[in-house]
Amino acid sequence: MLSYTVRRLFSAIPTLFIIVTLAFFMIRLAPGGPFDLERPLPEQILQNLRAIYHLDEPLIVQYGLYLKSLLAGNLGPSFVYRDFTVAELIANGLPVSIQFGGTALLVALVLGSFLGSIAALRQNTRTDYTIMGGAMVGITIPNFVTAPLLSLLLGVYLGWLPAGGWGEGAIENKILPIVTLALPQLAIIARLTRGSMIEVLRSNHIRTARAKGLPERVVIFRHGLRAALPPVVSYLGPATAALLTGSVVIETIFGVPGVGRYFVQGALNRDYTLVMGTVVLIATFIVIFNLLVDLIYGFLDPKVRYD
Amino acid sequence: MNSTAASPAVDPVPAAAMAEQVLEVAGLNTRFDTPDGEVRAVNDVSFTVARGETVGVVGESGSGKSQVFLSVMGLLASNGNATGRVRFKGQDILGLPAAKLNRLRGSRMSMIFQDPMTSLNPFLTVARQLTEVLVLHKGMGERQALKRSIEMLDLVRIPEAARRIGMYPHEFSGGMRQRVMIAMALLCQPDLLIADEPTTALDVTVQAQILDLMQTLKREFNTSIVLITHDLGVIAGLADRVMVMYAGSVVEEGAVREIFYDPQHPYTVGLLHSMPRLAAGRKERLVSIPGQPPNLQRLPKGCPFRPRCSHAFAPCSETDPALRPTGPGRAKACHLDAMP
Amino acid sequence: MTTIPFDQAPEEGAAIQGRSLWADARRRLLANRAAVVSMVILAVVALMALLGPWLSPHHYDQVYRSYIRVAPSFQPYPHGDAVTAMVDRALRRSGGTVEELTVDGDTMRLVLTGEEALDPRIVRSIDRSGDFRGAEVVETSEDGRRMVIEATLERYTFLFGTDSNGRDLMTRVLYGGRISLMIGLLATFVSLVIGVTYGATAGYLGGRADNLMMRFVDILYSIPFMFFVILLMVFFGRNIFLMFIAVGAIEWLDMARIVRGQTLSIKRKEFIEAALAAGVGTPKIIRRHIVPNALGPVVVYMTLMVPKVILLESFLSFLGLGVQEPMTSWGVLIADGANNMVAAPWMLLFPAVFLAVTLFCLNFIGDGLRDALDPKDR
Repeated sequence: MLSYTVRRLFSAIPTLFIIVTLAFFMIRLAPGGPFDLERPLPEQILQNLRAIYHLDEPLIVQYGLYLKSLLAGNLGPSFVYRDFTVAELIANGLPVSIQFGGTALLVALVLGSFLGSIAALRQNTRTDYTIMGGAMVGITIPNFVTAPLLSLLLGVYLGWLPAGGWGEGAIENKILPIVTLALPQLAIIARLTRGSMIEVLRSNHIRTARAKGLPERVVIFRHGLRAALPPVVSYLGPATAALLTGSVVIETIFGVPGVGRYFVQGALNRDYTLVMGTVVLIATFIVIFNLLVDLIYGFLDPKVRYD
Repeated sequence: MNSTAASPAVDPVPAAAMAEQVLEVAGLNTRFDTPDGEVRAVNDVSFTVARGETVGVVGESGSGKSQVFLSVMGLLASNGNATGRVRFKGQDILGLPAAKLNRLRGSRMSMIFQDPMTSLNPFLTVARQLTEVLVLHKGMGERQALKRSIEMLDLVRIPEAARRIGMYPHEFSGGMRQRVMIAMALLCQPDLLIADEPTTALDVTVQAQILDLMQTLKREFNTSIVLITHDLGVIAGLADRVMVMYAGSVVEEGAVREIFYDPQHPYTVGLLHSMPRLAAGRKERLVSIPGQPPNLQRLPKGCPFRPRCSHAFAPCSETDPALRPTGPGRAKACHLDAMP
Repeated sequence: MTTIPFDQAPEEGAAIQGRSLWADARRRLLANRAAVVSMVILAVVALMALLGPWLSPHHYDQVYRSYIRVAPSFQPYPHGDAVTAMVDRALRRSGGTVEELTVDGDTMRLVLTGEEALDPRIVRSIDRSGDFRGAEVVETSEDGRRMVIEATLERYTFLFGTDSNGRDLMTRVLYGGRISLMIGLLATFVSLVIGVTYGATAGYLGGRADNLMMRFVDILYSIPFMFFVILLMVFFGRNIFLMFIAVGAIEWLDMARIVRGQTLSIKRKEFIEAALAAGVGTPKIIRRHIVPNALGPVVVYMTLMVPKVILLESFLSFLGLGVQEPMTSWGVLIADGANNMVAAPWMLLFPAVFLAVTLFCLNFIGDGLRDALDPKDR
């Protein structure tokens, strides 16, 4: 198990390397730079700035320098927020993002698998149709539509919740962003659970469990849910990636001061190091989370052994 | 609520005559609603199984033989519906709510299935799957249940049972899994064991071992056994009586010797001819029954076997022959009075 | 449509018509009410998007300066007192004062007085405002300081209202739909071509080549592509063709996996072995057996991919990285609507409803197709 984990972490290195390389050259080959301001800076200052950030060196040298500092754990200074290093900015945004995304994932997982199981057990009844109809809405309507619609309805018309803004992270300010972020994943997890549960309930070993005279409750919870969970767990990897992407929009719409917003701002401002920093962070996060999901999967499915 | 296993369960019907029959099925019809229309899987099937008796049920796949017993066990798919009368030890059980049926299932009557690879829960240890039956039906504690389960695995000849019981099903071979299934079915010493093609998915040598095992267990527990199979060879060694099914109906019934040596229905004759025999003369050809079983959504008028029958004559396309007695303990559903 | 012959020699009498897989699927699909309704609605939306902008009296980027953010209405504009404001605006630099203003049907009658003699060329500035046409001086007083002008009111109908630039929202929603649907179809097609070729090649070659090719797909998979698309769009201009490439580049991965899996499993099926044993040539096996059998999941996945692509496009456009003004797409309109949702909720609602309905329909059709083609449930 431990050796498997270590091996998996090592095998992630080439992936991370490709991501870093791709991102680095993509950003650098693009026209424009961090110091192209509305009012051009005097030539001399520009020269100095470029020298400070090594932008005057050949690209391949810059790439080498960046890799070197990355290996040393240094994400470099931000080009635009000049008083901060990228690490400091990320340290600012990450706790917010983790709390925000983590809550959304938890909400999606718990509510989604619960609703999905109910729909499967009540297959082809009104309950099933209602839940699945709701899930269809959740999946099809993108969160950049639900976000403004919900804040229009709950915030502006009904006045129950603040229509926008992060309000220093007050609870009522967090509800809407978390709900809109969680909604599509909740819907997908509900559908997955339902499908998986229905398939399991039709399977031979459930028939055996019934033939043994076990009460329905035991059939479903001991025999069914256990077997229905693995596909849901293996979706958690893609779900995390989707939440990270989704948080870019949601953080921008609701002004959540998280990593996603730094990414968008960094990209718009050509803040090379900030963009690279967020890309590295997100890629690492996805790699680690996928590993975690695999380990949980191995724990759930006795057929999978990591050694 | 746990009925004790040693003494027979409390029986509301006066013993004497009735207690002889463990299972009585009368006029059973099983229908499935499908998007393509109603499928009539079982049509007016009646039979009995006596205590200690082994009944073989033979037929091609799709002849409704499994559905009869899934109906009896209350295990039909959700779109299935069974009507008629099923009595288990004198008690009507067809259409009983699951909660009441659960007192009988796994305890007084058990079923083992064709595919041992998928019939055990892959996510739970064998121990867990065995002990839960005893905990539920016998009210045993986990320790006691585990001890009893290991004994049972020993009985079905699983080597190192005490060690292997903690493993997951995928760590067992196919034959071993079927032994586990049999052990599971026999844990509470049921009155009736329904074995649905227990050897079909197994290698020939393993098949023989399993059949041998069932033979032994039959002698030891005096359990009534229903053996569902498409393989006449399986039945020959084990069954006392045989029921031949075609297109959802019983077409012939009788003692195993009589069915083998004096088949009275053209379909049974066809089945026997299509069975390879080691002792048979080299020149004898293996004959298959031409054509295919009928579509159970649209049964043709008259005898369902008529399109494939080489002896068909005028009445066959007019009326569906009813099952009629032709001798002591014998019956057939055919317009012919005797096989030519 | 390809049919797979299904040789079930019917015995005399009980004849059973062998139904092909596709005919069977079609029957199942048509029995699925949600899918059928979705197909009808989608056809209507597509037709509206195709013909709407062309039939509409408004051009999609024509600006009506007098009608900024007006609410949706069946009544032609201007409503009520709005004419007064329009006249004021038209006469802003002409120096006259409105003494009397009457509107009778489409005709506006204006009595104008001034400190000095009024210039009859005033009618031209009234015409130029775009709100009136055919303005002419009906009578002028002796001293020229009083003038009666008649003009025909330009009446406009804005069924969906107008946006913050005074453009007809209906035309823009329909035009945006055209772009969104077009991107959806084209990008799907791009990824279909790449994915099917790549997946079928990998699956067919098998062995080491397959391993290598799929390893590459796996690596690409673990890259957070969405972020790269965002970077791509930010840095390389907001170009609609780049969008096709970006979207197609992401989506082909899934398609390649599906097609490869299908090819692999079909390759191992008994009927392929049977065909090989019977001496059927490789090209014929691919054409007759592999392609038709792999087609089902591909068709299903394609139907489900179109809404994903539309979503992706809208997402990028929403962030301001996709389609650029004055061109528009549902994503752009929704972003615009979200910014104006308090003052002009219709700007959010109409494009959101159109997008949602389209996505719904496509998903229902995809689900219906999957159920229809899935042999598991038969």
